[in-house]
Amino acid sequence: MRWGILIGLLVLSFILEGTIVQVFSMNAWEGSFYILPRFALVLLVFISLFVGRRKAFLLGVLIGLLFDINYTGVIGVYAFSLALIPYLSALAYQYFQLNIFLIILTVFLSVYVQESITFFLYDLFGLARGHYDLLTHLPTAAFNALVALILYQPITRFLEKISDGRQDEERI
Amino acid sequence: MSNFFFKRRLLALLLSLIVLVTMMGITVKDRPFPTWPERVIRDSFAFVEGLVYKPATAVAAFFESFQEIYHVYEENKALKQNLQQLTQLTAQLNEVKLENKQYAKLLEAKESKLSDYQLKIAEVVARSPDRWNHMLIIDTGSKDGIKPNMAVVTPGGYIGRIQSVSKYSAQVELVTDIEHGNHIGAVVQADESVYGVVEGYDSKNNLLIMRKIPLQAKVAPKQLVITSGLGGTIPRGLILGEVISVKTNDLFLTKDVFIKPSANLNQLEKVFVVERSFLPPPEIPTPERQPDNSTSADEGEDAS
Repeated sequence: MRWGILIGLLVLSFILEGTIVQVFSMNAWEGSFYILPRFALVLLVFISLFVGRRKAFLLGVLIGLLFDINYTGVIGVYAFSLALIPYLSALAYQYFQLNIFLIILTVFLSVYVQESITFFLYDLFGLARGHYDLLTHLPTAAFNALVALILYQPITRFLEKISDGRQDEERI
Repeated sequence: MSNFFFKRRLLALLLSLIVLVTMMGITVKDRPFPTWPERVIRDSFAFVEGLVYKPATAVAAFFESFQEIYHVYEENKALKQNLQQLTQLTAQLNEVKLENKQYAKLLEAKESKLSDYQLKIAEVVARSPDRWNHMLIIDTGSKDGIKPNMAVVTPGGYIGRIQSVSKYSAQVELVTDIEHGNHIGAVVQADESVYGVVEGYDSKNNLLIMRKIPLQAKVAPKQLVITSGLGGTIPRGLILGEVISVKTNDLFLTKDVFIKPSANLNQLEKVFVVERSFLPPPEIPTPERQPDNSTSADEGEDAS
């Protein structure tokens, strides 16, 4: 388990989300159909499943704070959602085996739930525009699930190499 | 035993929710100057992001030019025509300026300083990847004299305002994020200039909304909308866009004007921060009582 490598990877994906993806996704800003990159969350879900959910929780708080400070100035929204969602998604796997389809489904649901949570939190403080629509987050969730599917092999191999096996954490 | 842990987990979740809401409540207001740890993090990330963003835009531009090769010929024709029109317009503009000077001399009017400003160039280093914060991060900050609430423009027109400033970077709230209370004083260049405030954004059609326009105002599509220079740090005469449609409000008391932003918000590399050299006295143009029923507020300074 090497914290430095994981933090480096997460910060890299965070930077990618804000720069390169923004340059190449021209239609992310207009029309009713848009796709948002959520690479950091995808990576956190994988870390949560293959390295340990408490570590993922801590890393999620860290990256979430980065997100809040850099892009919003409203501190707490991403720190909360990026920490909680990977943690909860790993909790579900106490009861059944990991397999690729379930993991991709988990990523899909995680991204979807995260988009919804951020919407409701911003809405709580009157910062969100528009109304909640069940369909708007589907393309984003599907896109990130696809990214997770493409990167599944390298990520899982890498994580199993640097972690000391998947620990079943007894305590919270 | 597991029951006990489950309870503890639930307790932790509730506590963290409380902490979250408190944190949000404390930090939700507009903070033009963030705290020093935030400034340090923003500055360092802006530096790294700048290193990544510029090559990415270069590559994107390269691929775009590839696509555009097919359309170059037609585009060239169109541009040449535009250029001719432009020279005509410039000539007209110079004429009008001269006339204006002469009239001003005749009237012995003082030069209005509402439209005096200087531009500072800035590079975009990142933009917010979510949909609730339409935000740019630029690579100039308080070190270069950037202050909160300055206007940010591209050659295409007005794109937003400086929301918060660190030493080497600043955050720009885009015009599409207007609902959060960042309203813009604007003028529709109709036969008589119609003053109003841009205070909404229609994200479905990508249009700005100017509300509370008097019913009698003669606003029609294709008219230009510029900033009015009233109410703060945005100077007069920055282009916002052109009128697309006018609708009567639900209450049938005022009109809503829908404006298509003239600046392309999708591809932003270099932007200009507008430094206003002069702050106007807080004056609001009072609507002059006129015998006919036009109630558009008309300032004395722009003799239309």
